[in-house]
Amino acid sequence: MQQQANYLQQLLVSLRTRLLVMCASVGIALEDAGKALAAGDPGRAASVIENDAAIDALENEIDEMALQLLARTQPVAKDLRFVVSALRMVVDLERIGDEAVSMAEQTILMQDKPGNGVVSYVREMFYKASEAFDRAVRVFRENGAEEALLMLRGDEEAVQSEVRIIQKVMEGLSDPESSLEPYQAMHIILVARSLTRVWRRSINIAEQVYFISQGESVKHKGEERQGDTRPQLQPAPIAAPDESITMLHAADEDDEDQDSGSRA
Amino acid sequence: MNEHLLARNVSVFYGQNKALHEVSLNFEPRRVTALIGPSGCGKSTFLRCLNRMNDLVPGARVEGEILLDGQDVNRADTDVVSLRCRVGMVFQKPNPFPKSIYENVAYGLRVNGLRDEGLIAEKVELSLRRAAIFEEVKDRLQAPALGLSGGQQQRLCIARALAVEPEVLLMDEPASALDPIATQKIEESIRELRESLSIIIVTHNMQQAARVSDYTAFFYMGRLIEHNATDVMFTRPSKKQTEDYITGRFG
Repeated sequence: MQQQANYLQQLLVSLRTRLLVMCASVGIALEDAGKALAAGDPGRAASVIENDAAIDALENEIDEMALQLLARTQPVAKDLRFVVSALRMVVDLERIGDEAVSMAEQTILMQDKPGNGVVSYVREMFYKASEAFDRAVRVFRENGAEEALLMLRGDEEAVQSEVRIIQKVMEGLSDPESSLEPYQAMHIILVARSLTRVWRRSINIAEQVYFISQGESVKHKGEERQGDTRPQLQPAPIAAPDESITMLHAADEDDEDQDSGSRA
Repeated sequence: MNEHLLARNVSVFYGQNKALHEVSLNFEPRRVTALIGPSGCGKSTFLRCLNRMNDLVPGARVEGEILLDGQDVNRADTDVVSLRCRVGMVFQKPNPFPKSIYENVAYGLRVNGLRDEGLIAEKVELSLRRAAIFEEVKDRLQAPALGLSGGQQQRLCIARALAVEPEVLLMDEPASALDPIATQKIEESIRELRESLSIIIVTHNMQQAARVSDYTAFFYMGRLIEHNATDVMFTRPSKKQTEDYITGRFG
């Protein structure tokens, strides 16, 4: 029994270590994608795309480790919750890596276009999305169930950030004084969409941390938990109807698995 | 209340040694309850109280109440033979009588005074079917039971217990001496039998408890630590001691 327990502990520690390695790799990809975008640096963007293979390989490796662990040791209770959560987290991490690649691709596509006005639009959102990711990794590393719970409130903020960017883009396009070109608008929107996904998947990771620790699933409960503390981020009225933007975004949640999944 | 078997503040003493401390547990009809815990934790002692098998242990004394349909089984005027028909038992090691397969199952019926051979044959077949062994032995019912494999002998013992139509079946490590295939057959029988009776099973095999039971009770050092739905017990137990035991972090 004790030998079995020690063997199980070793496998659990290895699984956790590899997950943390994957967190670090994805974190680097995200940071590099952000720097490449800010500097309009196609070389750095290309390296993000190239390094995604290593993240994919980590996903496969962790999948296999978790399967072996389940088959060989039949973990229960907190150990079982950890392994099941690892299998979910690894998907979120891989998809965040894909979003970094997506941003890098936008950077490359924009490189030879004059007037790189994209960065200012998305800088704040990039900062917040990568902060959400760093926070998710921290709560996982430190088993911070309480802080994980606080993160669930960020979901709405992520959506609102994207909506605000789209509104700005629309304002820019309809303003004859603005230098914003339609092709730039498209890049901005795609980058904003990627950042929303990074943000939301970071929240997913926090949900898993809470589940591992407390045994209670908080998936799809973010809105319930917000209650009156929901940030009051109402977009300013503009030409495009707000509702249609929000609805577009709701539909995106269903598409997300398909379009991100096709990348790997 | 829905329970028909209820233990209330049951303590067991072996001489001066208190082996079980005020255990209260209820068992609903047609549910499987697994009793788990390390060796010496009192789970088998508790199981044996339920049909007064501890009467057979010199110096053993039971306190508290064990109510079967509201009647305390420990009352002096309880007919123990009748009690053990209502609360049957299967032991760790298969212990068929040195008789034929048929007679093993018919034995309890004859002891109960049944003389109609046609009815006995009917009940023997039904019991063997319920224990999922009939197909394997139907052509050799008069062969000696001791010629069967270990797994078959254990299912024969289950059939023997079922023949007298118990309301509760106690199983003390019924599959610990069996190979995985025989174990699987026993577990299949348990799943089918729970349609018609309550089963209380002592097991050291936690995966088995997780597979077959509706409720799980964790015992430690003679005390009941946690009694919970098995779904909850193996995913989010409420007591730290339970978590430590089932995840192998004990001691």
